[in-house]
Amino acid sequence: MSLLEVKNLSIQFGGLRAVDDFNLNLEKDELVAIIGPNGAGKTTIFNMLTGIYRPTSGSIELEGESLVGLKPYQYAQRGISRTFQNIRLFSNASVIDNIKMAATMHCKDNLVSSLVRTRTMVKHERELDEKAMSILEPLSLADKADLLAKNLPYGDQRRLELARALMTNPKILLLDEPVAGMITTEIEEMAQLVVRIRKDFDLSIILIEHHMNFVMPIADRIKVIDFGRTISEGTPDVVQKDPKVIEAYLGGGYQNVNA
Amino acid sequence: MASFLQYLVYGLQLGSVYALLALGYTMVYGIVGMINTAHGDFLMIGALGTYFIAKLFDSVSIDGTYPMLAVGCIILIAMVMTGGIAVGVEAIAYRPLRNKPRMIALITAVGVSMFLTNFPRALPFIGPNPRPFPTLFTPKTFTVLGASITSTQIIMIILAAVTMLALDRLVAKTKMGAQMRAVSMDKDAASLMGINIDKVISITFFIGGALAAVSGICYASVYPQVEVYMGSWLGNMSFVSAVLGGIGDIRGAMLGGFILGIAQIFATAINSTFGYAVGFIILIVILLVKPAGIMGKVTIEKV
Repeated sequence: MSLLEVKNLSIQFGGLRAVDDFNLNLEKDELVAIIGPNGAGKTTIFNMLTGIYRPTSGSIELEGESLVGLKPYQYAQRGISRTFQNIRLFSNASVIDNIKMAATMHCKDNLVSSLVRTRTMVKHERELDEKAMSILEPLSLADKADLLAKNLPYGDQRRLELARALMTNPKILLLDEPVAGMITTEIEEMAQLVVRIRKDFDLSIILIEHHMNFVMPIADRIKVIDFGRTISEGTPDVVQKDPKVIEAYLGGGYQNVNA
Repeated sequence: MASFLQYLVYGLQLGSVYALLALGYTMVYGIVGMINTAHGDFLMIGALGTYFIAKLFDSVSIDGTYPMLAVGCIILIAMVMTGGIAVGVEAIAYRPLRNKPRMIALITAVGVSMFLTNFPRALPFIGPNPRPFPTLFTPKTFTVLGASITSTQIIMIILAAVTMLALDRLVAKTKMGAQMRAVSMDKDAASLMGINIDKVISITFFIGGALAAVSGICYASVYPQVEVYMGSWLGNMSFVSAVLGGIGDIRGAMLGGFILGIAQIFATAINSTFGYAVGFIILIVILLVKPAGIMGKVTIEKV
């Protein structure tokens, strides 16, 4: 059984079928990339995989449990976490508070023990701080823990989003355009980072991206979406040579020019 | 000097009513991001509810006073009831509008306020007439430097301060508080971090409603008359308190409540009709001079 099984996922907004018959079997420790032109429906797929949109039809099963119809927080509690294309941090909170807020669902201390600060509660809080720092460290944010999130430079904000998603203890991490707006060197750094956290945190990852030179070296498999439909899938090599993909990205006239 | 102190006591007494109400006002604004103009009506529901709940406890009263245990029960029931109604109002009226523009929620809140005032007014067993509030506390009077202060007043002032400290700690130090802060900053992102935003907002409204009930009981204990209209004026004043202190800020709400209460009593001492105007004068001045309020942070919009 795959970790995540998505079958025949479709969603319709009025007359527009934004995603049509999307299928995905994500195995444990796998990294699958979803690519496609703007407006192809990639983020819509993520919104369905995190409970923000309810699919019109189809099923989403995590380790055999159906998730369709649950609220976003229940998806997160079951181990699907995500980052956003446009950064959505808790901007008026410090870096460390940002990621500690992401861990509240795992916190077992009740109101009374927190208000009187019992010894176990203080111990839990210290463990939480340690865990937070152990995530900030490899993302080179540890020395910025007390800065406000909104005052961080762009690249740091992106990494903080990643840190926050990791803090929820996800089984599956969804990355929505993690290198949007980044320059080449930053893109390379982010690719190395994704590879590293995938190994260190034992994660299965689905990511959306435009940048081919970011996706190709790190993805195990690629799915190409256009107008809500899956037009191609396979290993990076296979997808890269698929004429349908080339057509979707570069337009139909491309081959004629080449010929 | 003695009369100055006496006015100060009255000011603190009124201020503690405003402060308790403003705490709920400011929490709802801070966390949900809406001005709940119906918040004053929660006070009315709490006070009027206490009147009816006390009637149920009539059999245990002796000469119109209740034993301590009964008073505790009455207050607790009133708090839970008002908190429950606040949660219900949010679930029915505000939740469906959560992702709509703020103005829509504000207009709905005005409508809810009108409904909460006029629905009990239309009920035959409640109606528009003022009723005498039962004596829950039999105050002892102390004289300090020529000014008299009652045990009820002392309890009210301490209660407001303790509640403020507890809420401040709740928001800053607990899991629920962390979730509240997350919801206040970005509801969607919070829910994707595993936070049940409906639950967090319901709890916020429950706390606001329960505090409004306490505030109503305090008010009616010193001005012992309850009626369906009592919430609107007190609601307005607590709104002014919250804005004065910096809306969304818990410490600011209490500070604003006490400042407004004291200002109103001193203004009334100078001229009895001027007292009612002073709240709005303060509101206008604060909006002109420091729109973010005393404790509020000025936010500069980046362009």
